[in-house]
Amino acid sequence: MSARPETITAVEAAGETYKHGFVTEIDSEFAPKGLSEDIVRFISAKKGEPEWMLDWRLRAYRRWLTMQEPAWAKVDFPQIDYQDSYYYAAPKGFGTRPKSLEEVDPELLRTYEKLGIPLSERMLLAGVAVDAVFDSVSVVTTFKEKLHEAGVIFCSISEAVQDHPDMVKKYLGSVVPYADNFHATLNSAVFSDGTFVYIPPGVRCPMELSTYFRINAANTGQFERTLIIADKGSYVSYLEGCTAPMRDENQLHAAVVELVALDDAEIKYSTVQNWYPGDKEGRGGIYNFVTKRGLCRGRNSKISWTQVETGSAITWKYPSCILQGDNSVGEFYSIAITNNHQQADTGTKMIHIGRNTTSRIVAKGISAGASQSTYRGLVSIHPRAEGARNHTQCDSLLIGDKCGAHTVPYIEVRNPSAQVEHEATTSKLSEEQMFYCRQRGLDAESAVALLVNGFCREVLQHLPMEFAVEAQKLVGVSLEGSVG
Amino acid sequence: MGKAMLEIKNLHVSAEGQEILRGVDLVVNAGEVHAIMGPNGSGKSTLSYVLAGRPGYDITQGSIFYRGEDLTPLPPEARAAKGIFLGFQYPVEIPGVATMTFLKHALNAQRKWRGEEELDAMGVMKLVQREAGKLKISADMLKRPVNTGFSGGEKKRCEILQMAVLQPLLAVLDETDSGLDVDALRLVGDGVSALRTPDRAMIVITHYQRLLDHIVPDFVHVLSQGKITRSGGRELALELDREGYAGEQPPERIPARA
Amino acid sequence: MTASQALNSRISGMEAITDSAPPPVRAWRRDARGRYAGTGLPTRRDEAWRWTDLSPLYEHLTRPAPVAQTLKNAPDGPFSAIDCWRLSFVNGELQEASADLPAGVRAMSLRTALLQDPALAAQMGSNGASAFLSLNSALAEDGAFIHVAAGTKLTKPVHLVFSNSSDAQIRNLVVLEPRADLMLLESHFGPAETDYFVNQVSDVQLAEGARLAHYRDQAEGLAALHFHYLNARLEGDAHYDGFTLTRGAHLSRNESHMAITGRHAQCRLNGVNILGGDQVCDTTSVMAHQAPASTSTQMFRNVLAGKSQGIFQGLIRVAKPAQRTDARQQIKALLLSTQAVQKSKPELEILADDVKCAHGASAGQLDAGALFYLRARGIGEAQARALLIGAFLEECVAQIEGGSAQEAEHIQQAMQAVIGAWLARQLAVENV
Repeated sequence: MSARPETITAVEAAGETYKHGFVTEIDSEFAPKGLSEDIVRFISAKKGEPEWMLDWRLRAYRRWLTMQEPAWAKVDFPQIDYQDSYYYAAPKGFGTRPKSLEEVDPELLRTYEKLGIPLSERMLLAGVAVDAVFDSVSVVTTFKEKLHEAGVIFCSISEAVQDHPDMVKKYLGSVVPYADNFHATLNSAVFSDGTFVYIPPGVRCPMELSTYFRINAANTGQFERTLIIADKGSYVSYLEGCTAPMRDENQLHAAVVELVALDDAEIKYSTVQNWYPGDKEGRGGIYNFVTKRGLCRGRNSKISWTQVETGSAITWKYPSCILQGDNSVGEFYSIAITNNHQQADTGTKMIHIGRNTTSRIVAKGISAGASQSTYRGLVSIHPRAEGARNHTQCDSLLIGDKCGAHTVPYIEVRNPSAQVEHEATTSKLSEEQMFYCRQRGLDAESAVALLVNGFCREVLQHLPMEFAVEAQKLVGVSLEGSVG
Repeated sequence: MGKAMLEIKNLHVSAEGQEILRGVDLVVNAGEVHAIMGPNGSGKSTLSYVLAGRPGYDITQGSIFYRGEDLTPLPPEARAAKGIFLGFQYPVEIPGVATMTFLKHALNAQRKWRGEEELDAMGVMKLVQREAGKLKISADMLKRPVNTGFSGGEKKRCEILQMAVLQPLLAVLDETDSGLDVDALRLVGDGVSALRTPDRAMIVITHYQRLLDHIVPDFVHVLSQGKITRSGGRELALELDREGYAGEQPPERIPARA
Repeated sequence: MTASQALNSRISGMEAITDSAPPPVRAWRRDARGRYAGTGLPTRRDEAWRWTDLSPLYEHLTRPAPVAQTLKNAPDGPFSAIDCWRLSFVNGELQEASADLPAGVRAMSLRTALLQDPALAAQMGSNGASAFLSLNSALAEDGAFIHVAAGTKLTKPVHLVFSNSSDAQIRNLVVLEPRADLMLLESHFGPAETDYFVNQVSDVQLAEGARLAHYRDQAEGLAALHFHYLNARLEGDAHYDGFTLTRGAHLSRNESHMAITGRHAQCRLNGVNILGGDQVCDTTSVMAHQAPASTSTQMFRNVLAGKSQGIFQGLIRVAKPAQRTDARQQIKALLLSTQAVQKSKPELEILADDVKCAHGASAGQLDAGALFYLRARGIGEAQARALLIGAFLEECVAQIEGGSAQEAEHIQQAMQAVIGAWLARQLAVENV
């Protein structure tokens, strides 16, 4: 039996409750519309970048001109006119970055408060340092001093280009080269800001680091770049959150995240992606084309991606691990929820190069409304990866009969001692479970939220506590209206 | 006797186009325990689902009144909030949702519906643990996902735990004894008996009379081919146990005697 | 001459035959020819061929087709000892056929059948999904036509024996009318050293309630290039039980397109691939559930020795109307050597919500613990390995349903014997 009409109605109603859709009234400064070498130079000049940085951007831009937009993902959208967008937008007066919170436009601070991310250190959740990126620029980075004492560098990538050029030169593009793929190459040319993190050897970062991305200006693409380096024996947990106003046109977000873990280092990267998904008819929403990749360069290093993807009209995202160091570990825990007309094509690549490398993939997809959700993944065991192990579990849940769920895993094994296991299931939201919950007094919407949270449990438990609670609520909200 | 808690009149129910209940009449008053017995396929579980409001069952004739109110238009969660509890014959597994979490959501959803104050996590935990202790349900089991990986006995004990926590007015227990060994049966039977109060009624659906040694009924009914064909006291259950349901089955379904 | 020029000239060579064919056949061939011209042979840039390197075929086509040889004796295969009605083909040409077929059954040359009834062309697929399909439609001259009338159940199997030594485009058409019941066996073999190219397409039409048990033994010569394309349609309550043993050919591709168009149809697609040397075997399947309440199961096992490569691409596609579909797929590979490679892509594409779909894929080597256990009991290493590999494959061989339990056991044992002999040889080679 298919989901009952009342169930479907309840999930659909949920689509109307995007809570971060307001616009901040603030004067912004834009680069001229469109994309050209001049725009790339404009962005670089705005940031007062050194020559080498501009050269890198220009190389990327010229390469990008020769590239084709990838067409293999199961997502369908009208041709993007890359000339019809602003590639740089910043609140007025950001020629010089505010030195302290007092210098930040109070309207901006209010925006982040409304989003539940107060930037004043007194008000912040203890133990979480935040880099707030608003359109193209980093507004403020909190707890810098405290982190500095531990030797941790946590700043905007623009600052890092100025203050830590050697490190940026060494690592930028070392995991995602500027010519990697269409979207990453575009990002390399026009990235405006983002976060830079360096954890020195043996340091366990004393607090969770977090970036909060906000697209505000209309017709503006956001192209942030994040670079995290965990030196030998260090540990960092990094959280990323994103929202955008509700607008009828689509906006482009093409980010690049590069992680480097050296010997015995561990990076835990968590994302709650809640970009505006568009309305019930599929108007508007963010096009989210993101390249995230981690390099486990050292022995015994570990990179763990956890993502909760509930937003965006289109998600194209494959956080991956290159397991180069012997005994290194890669993990990918993912929840992708699509409702109404959202489309998500997301998954991971686990590239096993070193000996005894292990990876684990747990992907949960929930499709409701008229949405399409695809898990796409690659597990590749190279000939030298003696003793490599992978376990993959992909489960899809369908709510209503107008949506689709797809699973496209690629598995390549070139070493006989490797053990690779992949399992996938697709099923509908169980009417039996729904009835059981309702018999105990839960209304349909709460029952769906509870059941879906149960379905996602294995992933949710990998999120840091503060995020997990937030994510659980988001799971319910994203599916509101899908069932009754 | 006061006003009936449950009054079923000439109830006809179909599922997937097939008539299963063909005119059931039943009156249950507060404080009473009614046993409904009958052969497989006689419509016992259907009756329990219809009382709880499971989608997919069509009432083609007749009425169900609960505490003076027509039950039929209410969704399952409203019936639950008004005090109707169904102990499932096959309790459903809900992976990823801890039993304690589930109970908290259920209890508070019902309280909210009734306009009562919701209990905080600590309050729920205390209440659940107290009841769990009586049923020998360990704290570990409460952390495990609802019914997931539970043995048959654990599932049934967990159903009774939910009943104890949710404190319904009308409990419908569908084959609560199936799949239980002697010890588990006693535990469950004692658990249910402890919940007998003058303001609470129970309908105990069972195939065998052995459960009725532990939950002694006031009335026993035989449901056969979608109708209550006989009603009586405790002794009827014993008689059925001795002589089987042969007389209650259509002739072609009587097994040949060896 | 390049490969595509070579194929084009072969297609031109067919013109006279095409022109003289009855109109429906002519139209069908011309359509296929047009479709082939539109795509040409695939390359690794095509998603459906990303893992299978066709350069051996491209090279082969630049040379003249090998001269046909006469094979003295058909080698023993799993079906040799089974009492069957036989049709024997040499390079795709029917040589002899059992004459004593019962009423309600036709088993004959497809060429002859098309001359008698050109409308049969409508039952043969020529859609543009695969270049090999359209190439075959444009070039095939003969193959088997099997027709079983409604309600007819054959008392013994029909066995198609394909002896190949030169390039052949073979086309079979199998039509089972409502409730017809047939076991169809196929054997493919050829000389070890010759790099002949066989491209075979089988169209299978199962009407309401028809049952086909379809078992194949692919034992082509180890230099051969073998392409097999199964195009099947299952109507309501139809039942297909397929099993393919691949042990021959340098490069082979078993591509199955199963369209389930009727309610409650059941489709079972299973196979064992045992490969060594530099063999490459590509198993590609599309299980398309288009009607409600149908079930499909797929189970494949690869054992890969030497530098062999196993490729698996399996798509389960559940269309919107196909509610209550139950579809399962499992692929397991055992890599016996450091240079063996397995690539798998089990894919789900689901547009109905009330479904149960699952796939699993695994790759690894023999369990060291089990191996040690057997050796601790005194079983030599080679034998212990053979036992464990045999057990790994047996699970899949045991899927063969046959027409009866007895028949199933018979065929399973015959398959196991062939597999056992291969293992003994393979492990002896490894130990040298």
